[in-house]
Formats: sequence, C-alpha cells, structure tokens
Amino acid sequence: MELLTEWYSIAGFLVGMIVVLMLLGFPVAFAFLTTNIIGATIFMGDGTILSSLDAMPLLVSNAVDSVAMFALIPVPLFIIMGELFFHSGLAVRVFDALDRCFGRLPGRLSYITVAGGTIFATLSGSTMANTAMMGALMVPEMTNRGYKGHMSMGPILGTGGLAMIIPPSALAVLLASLAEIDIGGLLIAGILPGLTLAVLYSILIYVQVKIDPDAAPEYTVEKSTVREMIWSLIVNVLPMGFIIFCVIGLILLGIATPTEAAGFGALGVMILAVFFRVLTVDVLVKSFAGALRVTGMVLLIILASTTFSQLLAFSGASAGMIEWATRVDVAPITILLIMFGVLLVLGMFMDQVSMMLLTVPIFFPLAESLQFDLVWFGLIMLLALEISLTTPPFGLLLFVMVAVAPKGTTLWQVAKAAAPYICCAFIVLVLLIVFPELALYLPSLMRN
Amino acid sequence: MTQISKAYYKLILALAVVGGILLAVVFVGIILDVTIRTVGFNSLQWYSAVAEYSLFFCTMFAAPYLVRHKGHVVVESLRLVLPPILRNVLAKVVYAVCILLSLLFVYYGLLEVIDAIKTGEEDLRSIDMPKWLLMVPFPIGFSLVAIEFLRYLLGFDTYYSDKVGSGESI
Repeated sequence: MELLTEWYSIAGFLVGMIVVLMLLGFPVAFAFLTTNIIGATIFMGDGTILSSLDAMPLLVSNAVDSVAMFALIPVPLFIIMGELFFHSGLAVRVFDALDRCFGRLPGRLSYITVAGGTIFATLSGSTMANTAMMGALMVPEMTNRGYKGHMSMGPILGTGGLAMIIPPSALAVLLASLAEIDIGGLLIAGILPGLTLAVLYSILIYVQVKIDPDAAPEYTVEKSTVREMIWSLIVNVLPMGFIIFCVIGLILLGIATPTEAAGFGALGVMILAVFFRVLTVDVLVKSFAGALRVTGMVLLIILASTTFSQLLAFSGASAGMIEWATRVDVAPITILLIMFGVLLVLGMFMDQVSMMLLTVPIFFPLAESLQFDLVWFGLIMLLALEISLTTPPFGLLLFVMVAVAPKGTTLWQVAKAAAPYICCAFIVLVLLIVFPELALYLPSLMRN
Repeated sequence: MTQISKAYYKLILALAVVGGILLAVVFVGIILDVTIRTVGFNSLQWYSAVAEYSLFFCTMFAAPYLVRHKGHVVVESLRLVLPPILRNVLAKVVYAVCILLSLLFVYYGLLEVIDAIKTGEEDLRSIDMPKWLLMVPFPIGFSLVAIEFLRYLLGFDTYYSDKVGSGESI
C-alpha cells in the first residue's frame, strides 16, 4: 500500500486493474464493480475487507443515482430512432434513390456508400448498426461488380464511424452527460467536421480510382432520366430531411432541448414509416428490443463505473494529475496528443463506452485545467474514439466488417482498406487543432 | 426441473419486456410533454421523475436477460490466446467473482430497502416516491444476475463466444 501514494501510481493502479480485469474476460460492468470495491477498500477504508464493506451503501446509492439521470434520456431515444430506421427498411430506400442518381461515375458504388453512409449517420445514432447495415447491403453488390476490397470495405468503415460524430450521436450524448458539458453544443459541433470528413472520403475515392481504375470497374447502369432521378430523391431522400430537422433543426432553432429532439427524431422516423406503410408491430417490437439490449448494456456499465471517478478524486489521483499537467513544462498540444494516443491504444481492445467511462474522469479535468474549450475537446475525443474503432488488431468495426464481408476476407485486408480513411480522420484532427472554429462555429450560433 | 427453468426464463423475459415498455413510456412521455407545453398547457410535472426512474428500472430489469443472452460487453482478445483448459478455469473464476459481487449488491441493496421502509424515506424529485420502491429493482436485478452467472458456473452454457470483437456497442 505504501507504493500507492503518488497520483500516477494510484491512477495507474485503478486504471490498470480495470484493463487487466477486462482482458481476463470480466464483463466490462463487473470489471468496474470489482475495481470499485477493491479501490474503496484501499482508498476509502483502512485497507481491510471489512472497511470495504463500509463503502458498500455508498456504492449502492451511487449506482441508483448514476443512471436515474435525465441527461441520459437521449441515449435510449437515439438508439430507438436508429433501430426503427433500420428495421423499417427506410435505410434501403435511401440507397436505392442514390443508386439512380450517380450515373456511370467511376467508383459509383463507393461514392454511394459515402453519401448513403453520411445520410445514415444523420439518421441513426449507432456506429455499429451503421457499419453492419451498410456492409451487408453494399459489400456483396460491390464484390459482384468486381470492386477491390479497399474500394468496398474502406468507405463503409470510414462512413460507419461518422455516426459517432454527425448528430444525432448516442455516444456524443453519453460523452457530454458524463463530462457534464453542453449536450446540444457537442452534437451540433460534430456537423461541420463530420461533413468535412465525408468530403475527404469522396476525394480519397476519386484519387484511388484515378490511380487504379480497375479497383472499381465500370459497369452498365440502367439509365435514369433526370425526371426519374429527381422524383426518386423527392420520394426517398427528401423525407429524411424531416427527421434531420426533427433532431438538428429543433436544437439549432432552440425549440427543443437535445433530449426532446431525440424523442422527436424517433417520432419522425415512425411518422415516415407510417407514411411509407412499413411500420408494423414486428418492426416496433424488434426496434424496442434492440434498443433495450444496447441501453441496458450501456447503462449497467455507467451504473458500475460511477464510483470509479469518485475513487480517482478521493484518492488524490485526479488532483495530482491536474497539478502535474499545469506545472509541467510541456505544451498543452502535446498533452492533447498524448490523450489522443491513449484513446487510440485503448480502442485497440476496448469498446467505446468503456473507454469513455475510464478516461472522462481523468481527461476532462485535465482539459479544463489546460483551458481547452470542452466542447471542442469532446469532439476531438469522439474523433479519437471513431479512429480507434478501426484500429487493428481489435477495433470493433473491423470485426463487424469481417462478419459481413465475403468468406475468406481476413482482418488484415479489412484493416488495410481502413487505413487511408484513418488518414482522412487525422487530417480532420489537424484541421480541428488549427481551426477550432470548424467545431465551435455552429455551437456559437446556437448560443447567440 | 425443466418446468422450473422454463418458468424462471419466463420471469427474466417478462422483466425484460417491462424494461422495453418503460423505454416506450420514456419515449411517449417526452412527446406528450413537449406537445402539451407547446399548445400552452403546463408541462407534465411528473414526467422527468418517471423518465429517470424508468432508466434505472429498465437497466436492472434488462440485466439478467442480457447476461442470459451474452449482452454485456466482454473483451475476448486475451482469452483466445490461452490454452482451452486455462480459458475454462479463468471463465469459472470470472463467473464466481461475478456471483460474489452480485450477491454483495443483493445484500446491501436489501439493507437499503429495509432501511428505507423503516425510516419511510422518500426520494424527492418532481414526484415524491418511497425510496424503498426505487431501490427494490436493485436486489431483484442483481439476484437474478447472480443466478444467471451460476448457470454458467455450473456449466449449462458459456458466456463467451470465443470470437474477438463480438460485443455490441453504440
């Protein structure tokens, strides 16, 4: 116990224990619970088992308060919205419409993936669902058309992660709630960087097709008249604008809070599904069951992890680290990049929610002490989380892609396809550091 | 035995269904609240408290169902490099610790419930709710979670898929 006196040894011990328990195969929530009890024994009691039991009532009451929180309500609502969108089949209509509009453009299916994926990102809050859906829909078609792996899987992996940045993003709401920053601000801050990323992906596809035209062979496309294209867009894509308005528009106009906008987003999908006659009891049951699965999993991890941040504070780890960061002669940008790197490393084997719960109590006080804008920092963190999803060897999106890709596709092939898209995300990171307005301009409009 | 296990599964399924219904209540409630407010009536005072309680209730009610269907995220990357025997032993240790933790929470959750009944304490939000009623799902949820992990410990099933990156997230 004498070793655990410095802030770095305490923080290392607590964070290390969670990581080790996770690697041993503990469900994430139980890794946090175990660490909390052991941490409470050491730092809140006198080091004996009995003293840890003294802390149990605190752990129990913390657990209840941690999830019975109004700020968390957008999380299930955005998940319901995304589930409804996918189960009702509205998502496929968007692809069909875009398919008519891209003509014989070389690499058209890759562009359709980026365009469709970006629209999906604004209609669903789930990165995993986005990637799985686009992978199942687009990869077989692209493979049949002779597209090489990097032209089919790359755009899906890239745009799949956009759901995390472009609102509505359930992860952004969760991050903002945990860090106690402006939820609406963080959601809106993701719009411009997200769209910039989508544009960079399109440029990348253009370059890739120029370098190797055989990577995306041209094929005969049933020609649509301009009238058919416009009609298809009006019928299948334009109505989605209604959902985007329900979420982003209502927040931007200051009519609804992010929580209320999340509810109206889900209602918007339902109204559209009724309009297209695809809303059935089966769709509703599947959507709410899917939402319950993800919500229950996420909230139990939050419930289990709440005491963790208190332990960091109580043991002096948080205060010691902040004191160190403000005293040490290193540029704030270096500390930012270190935090970014830590997230990338954690993302190699950990899911995004666990990463947030582990790092928010450490990183946000640090960012505040370095006088970073916390909404901007939150967005940088989301970008790191997005990149880490596609970081080998264990990025979760890589595995989602392997599961939906043609048989025989290796993880290495998927990771290679994702690499140029990760570079695009790094370009956006640099842009955000050089021009913070890219993230902060829209939230500033909202405040005014 | 089969009858009991079927009835027991129906119980955890029923609790999960209640959790799903509570999510629907949260969703419908927020639409009603905003609509009523927009047309000029007073906002639903009770809604925020009901929504907050619903989040907690649906977390606890879904927890055992998620353990049964392997819905709580695990990292399987390190396990996979271990020899099968060690992997099994490790799994049993994890199940045992999870049972122990769950039972600790059942015990202390029950103490909180009993204490809240004795003192008549209320949870003060936009509606006042007896604290014991708020706390009750806690020992219920964790006791069923303990039973679910016991099923795994006794070898009825394994929690692990033995595939990397099989977890669900948002």
